[in-house]
Amino acid sequence: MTRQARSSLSLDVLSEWVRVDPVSGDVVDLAALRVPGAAALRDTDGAVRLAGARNEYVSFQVIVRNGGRRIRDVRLSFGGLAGPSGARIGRREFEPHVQWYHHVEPHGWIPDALVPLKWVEGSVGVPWRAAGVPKQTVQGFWIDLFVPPDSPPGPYQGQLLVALDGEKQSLPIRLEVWPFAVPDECSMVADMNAYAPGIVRGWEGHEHSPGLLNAWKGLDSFDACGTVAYRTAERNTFRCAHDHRSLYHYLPYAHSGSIPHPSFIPELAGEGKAIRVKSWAAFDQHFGGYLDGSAFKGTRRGPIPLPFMYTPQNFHWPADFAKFGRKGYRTEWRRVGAKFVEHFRTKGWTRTRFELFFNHKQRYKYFPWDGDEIKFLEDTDHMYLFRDLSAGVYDAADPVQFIWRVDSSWVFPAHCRTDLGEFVKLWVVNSSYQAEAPDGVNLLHERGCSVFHYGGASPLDAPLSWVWLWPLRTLGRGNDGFTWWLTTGWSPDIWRRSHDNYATCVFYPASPWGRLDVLGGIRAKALRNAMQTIEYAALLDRKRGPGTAIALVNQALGTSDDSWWGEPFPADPLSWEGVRRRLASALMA
Amino acid sequence: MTKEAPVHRLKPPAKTTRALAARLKEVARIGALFVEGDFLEEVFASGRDWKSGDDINFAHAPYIELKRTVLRIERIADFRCFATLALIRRDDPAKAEAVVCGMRNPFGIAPVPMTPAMLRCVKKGEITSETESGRVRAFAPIANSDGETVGFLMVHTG
Repeated sequence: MTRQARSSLSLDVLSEWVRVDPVSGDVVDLAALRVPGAAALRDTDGAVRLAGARNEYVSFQVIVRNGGRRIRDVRLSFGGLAGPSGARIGRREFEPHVQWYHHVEPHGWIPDALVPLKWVEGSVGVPWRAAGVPKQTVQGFWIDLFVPPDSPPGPYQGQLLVALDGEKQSLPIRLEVWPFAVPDECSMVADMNAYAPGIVRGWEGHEHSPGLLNAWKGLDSFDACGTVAYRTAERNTFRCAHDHRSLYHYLPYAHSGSIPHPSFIPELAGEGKAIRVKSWAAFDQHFGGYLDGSAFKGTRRGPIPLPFMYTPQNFHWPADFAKFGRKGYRTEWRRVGAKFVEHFRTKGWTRTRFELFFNHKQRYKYFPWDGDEIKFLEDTDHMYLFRDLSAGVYDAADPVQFIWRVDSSWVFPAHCRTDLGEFVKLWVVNSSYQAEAPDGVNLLHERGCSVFHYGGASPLDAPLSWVWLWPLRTLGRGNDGFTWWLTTGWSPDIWRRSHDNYATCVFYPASPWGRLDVLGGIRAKALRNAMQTIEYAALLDRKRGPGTAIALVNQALGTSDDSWWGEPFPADPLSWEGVRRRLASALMA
Repeated sequence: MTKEAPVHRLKPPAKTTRALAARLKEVARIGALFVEGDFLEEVFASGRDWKSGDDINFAHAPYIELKRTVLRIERIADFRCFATLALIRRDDPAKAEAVVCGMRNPFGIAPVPMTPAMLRCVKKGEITSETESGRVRAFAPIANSDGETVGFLMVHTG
């Protein structure tokens, strides 16, 4: 590389709250909000300045601009960070990723998917040919730095080395570790909803890859669920969500009531009074690790059981709807239910709330009620009917927790004032309709219910502030969590195109890399980082009293309590850092 | 009554199209005998017929009766097949709309233009069959208690 060529290159280190166009080099998220320089993370002496709590990730981006000349090889390397009294944060705590770019009309290219650098090191240049971005001049790298839970608080420093075609540049890194830790458990639920066996599609068309060993080639999506490869991919999806401080929430039946694969249910035999569970083996093998937490061993948050899980119970399973309204339906529903209670109790699966939820909708022409998003109040009758069918079964499962769930939208303002809250303990409420009855959350909390609000994940062309507005709105409304209705809406070419600007794709299958891994993108990392900060808020409210944190958030953002009941507002993505630091300061005061 | 085996495990027997059509027509003929046409006619909640999306609202009692019947019809054959009850759209008699499906919905959520086999079924009262996209399906007319044809039963292999 010539001196002239080198002089036209540049390195930027930017906040995690902006994204950079790989062609123009412009910051995507800041166009109307701030000057681009505001996202820079470097001090006047060139050092990268970071701060964070223990047991959390801090993130930043390295943006390489090629100045119009091809760079064949970009490499990043990290030394450990030296801290107070000889403390060290090892180099392995740095997790660098390469940004993948998606074409979104009419905006152009926006980064989201992140590929671990170790998978592709040596092949990444600017342009990065694998990404296929015409006229690419900029390549972004996302860096996660995990602050181990046992790190002594105080200042740390180290180096980031960036080698461009072998020419090395050193960037000093300064990290301030704050004297408090983010808990492994989440006080708020970020619910990443999906429908089984939808993840199968993420690997379709890639089965020929040597790394996948013909994972499920030739099988339909239902039979694919029986393969070891599928189970690995599914587990990786759950683990990926878990490490992004969210819950992968996977509905195990179709609108018709059919079950994707026998491993989603216990094996039954007989009918009516003779119905019995013949074997739990396949079910236990499939779900046991999620329910005792062992599936999450080796993740940053550790082996924590799922906080919520759908059960397969629906209008047509385990009771045969051909018997509905007859005594045999009641017999089958109750007998199998009692076996669930008995088995789950034996297994000690007491930390998960198992949802009894009917996702069926009349529009699909299988059943006469909307279990999901009831529009006509008389359709609520089925919930009372099934409560009565289940009396003495699921409500007597202690210490196992089976809970009724309703997803309410059209009639939420009426629903929340009925006696439904006496037995339905999880309310997943359309975000807009909840705003029509702001007192509903208190009414339901008084009855011991959990309340989530739901909607779609942020599309790629929305500013990253939309991501953190979800947990903040949850905090502001006093809800217990939020639901993104579909987060693995994958197609075989999801890395290249999406019909909805990725509003139904938060995680990515690693199929193009010949792997069964599942990867978070920038929005997933942004969500994780926001959820970390939500734990600051929870710690602060415990320390200073409920409402302390949201008051500070409102001060930081110039918002009011009413702001959280409207539509997303055009917040400056970078203002999140002000929220984070204000909450951290209050915690440390 | 034996509950159906999981959908993904059973496949129709290897038959010629003509033989399979004959089997499906026989299932449709028998099944239609057990369908209450008045219930089919009254399947929508009062004043809420021909809606779409979340506005669709069925009358619970007739729907449940029809659904139980459809599930049983799917068990007549010794091979995997599916049954659907469709109504002739009163506001658009050239179209039919699936309203009660067993374990598969072959039409989706919107009304569909009736094919020649469907039209022959509802206009002439015949049990008919057709092959659509390589799949065989049979139709039997459903009449109300006044003898008016209000829809049809479709039996198919998915």
